[in-house]
Amino acid sequence: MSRTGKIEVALFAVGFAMAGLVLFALLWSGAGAYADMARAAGAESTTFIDHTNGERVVMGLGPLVQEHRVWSTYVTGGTADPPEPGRFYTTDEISHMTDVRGVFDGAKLLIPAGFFVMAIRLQRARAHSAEEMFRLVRDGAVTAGVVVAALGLIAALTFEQAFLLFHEVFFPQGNFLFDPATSNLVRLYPDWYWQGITFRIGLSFMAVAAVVAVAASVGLRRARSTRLATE
Amino acid sequence: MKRVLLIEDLPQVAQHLQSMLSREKEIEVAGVQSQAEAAIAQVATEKPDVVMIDSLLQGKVTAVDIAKRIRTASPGTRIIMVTVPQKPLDAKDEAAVDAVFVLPGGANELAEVLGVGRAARPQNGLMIAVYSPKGGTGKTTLAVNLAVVLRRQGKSVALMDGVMQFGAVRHAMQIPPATRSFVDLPTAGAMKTSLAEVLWEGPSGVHVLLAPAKPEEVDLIQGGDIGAAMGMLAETHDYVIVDTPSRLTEDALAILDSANVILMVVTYMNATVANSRSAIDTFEALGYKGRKPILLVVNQSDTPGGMSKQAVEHALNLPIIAEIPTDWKTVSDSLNKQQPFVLGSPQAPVSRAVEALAHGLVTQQRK
Repeated sequence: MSRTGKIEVALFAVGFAMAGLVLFALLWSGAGAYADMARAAGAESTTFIDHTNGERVVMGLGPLVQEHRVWSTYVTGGTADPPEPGRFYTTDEISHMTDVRGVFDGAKLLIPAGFFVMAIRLQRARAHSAEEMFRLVRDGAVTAGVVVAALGLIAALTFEQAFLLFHEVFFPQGNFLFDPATSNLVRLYPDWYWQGITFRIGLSFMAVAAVVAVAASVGLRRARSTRLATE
Repeated sequence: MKRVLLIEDLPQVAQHLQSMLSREKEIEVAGVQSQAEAAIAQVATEKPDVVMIDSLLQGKVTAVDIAKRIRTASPGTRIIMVTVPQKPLDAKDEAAVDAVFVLPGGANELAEVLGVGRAARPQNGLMIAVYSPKGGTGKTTLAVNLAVVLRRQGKSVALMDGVMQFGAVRHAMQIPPATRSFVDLPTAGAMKTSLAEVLWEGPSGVHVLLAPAKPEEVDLIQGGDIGAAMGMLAETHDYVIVDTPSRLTEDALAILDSANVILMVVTYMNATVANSRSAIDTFEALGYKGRKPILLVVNQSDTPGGMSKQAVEHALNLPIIAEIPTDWKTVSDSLNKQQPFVLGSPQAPVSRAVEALAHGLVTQQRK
């Protein structure tokens, strides 16, 4: 593959990964996914601290899912007003979630940007030949899948460092560290949630990348057969 | 047994609420609906006692809109909104919402919003005689609307038309002409078994015991039967509201003797105040003083006619617990349409005033 070809594949892979990862992050942010992850982790209830009186409150799966729905709806842009501080959450926690919403707002722009990058690359390859186009799709999907798999493996092996790095990159203001002994946000989103959602986003992205790569391979074979038959 | 319909789109939350409701002996879950239209259709046909709606429902129709449509489809159904602490709701802000349950919530909080269990009536219900010694004070209208408001607050309520001759309750609500009345009740011990068959339940959910339709039938009714009927109604209802005749006849005295509370309706008119003073003197002579509260309610309170609240309180030596403003249009529309104004115009100041009165009575009963 020429140097230009490698650059085209890399650009396609970047566009594919941008659009795909953000789409899956939105898809897996729902209440059903949270409930599945909680069940898989055997965490169908937890204890919250009532900040108004310091008492412990048992939260079953239903209330936990409802709490998650409030947050996920807010950070993904479903509602304009942030949840109110008080019984369960502090102003610092709400401020952090407002920043998370800002990150999501930015990330949502990556979806059309990713599709735009892919569309430009596809158009250029198609102008050359149908085989070139299918090859670009196949190689781009495989590259994106392999890179995401590698990142996922690194994240799995060094989860705490990766989690910290992710937050330091996206929340440079540093308002993401809370005391697990008192923070209900940490109790709502413990390690099993981050590991579960990372695993789901990565696995579903790789599955889609594999399907796209296989489909492009089939398309490539057919395009090659058609060209040979006409020659 | 109260039937509760859940409107919830998250299965885990529905399961949590069902689990909590299953621990309440007086509750039966009528179903769980995740779609607004299906839920409203079920409410319209089955008219459950209580509907619990998740305020965070996602979809084209908001939870508050669903509540408003349910209120229209089944005015007697108590509507409870379910929320979380960081999304607070105030039932007073939404006319269609009767109470708010905040997750995770406890059994006591749930029982309180449902009006069952330990939070419910521990003994016989409160019998309130709505009385005025002068006609035209709005006593019947107040009795009807008060009963509906209390029912909407989740209480079981019986409304009895104690004006056995020319009773007006049957004209204040859309009651079919053939509906049975007090005169269809057997006397003495057999009364209890037939009482439920004679009660009429309208869309507001209030159980109504009508006065006879024909004036001559009043001769068939004994004062003792009236008191007995009130007592039996109090065994099965949180509140028994009785529209009481103005004249202190045998049937009126039977009602006043049985009642736990006398709600005296007055206006800022000299004749009303003077008659009320005479009635209170009679009550004292009958030994009511210290035995049952006599509470004053001023109707048409914004037409003082030169009288002040303090002057009336001083003249009658009783505190005024509520003032109901004048709203001829709302009230006359309500009477002509035979729909209580607290249902037809829930936001009107007159409706709000009746709600405040009901709240005051509930608080007083708790004390």
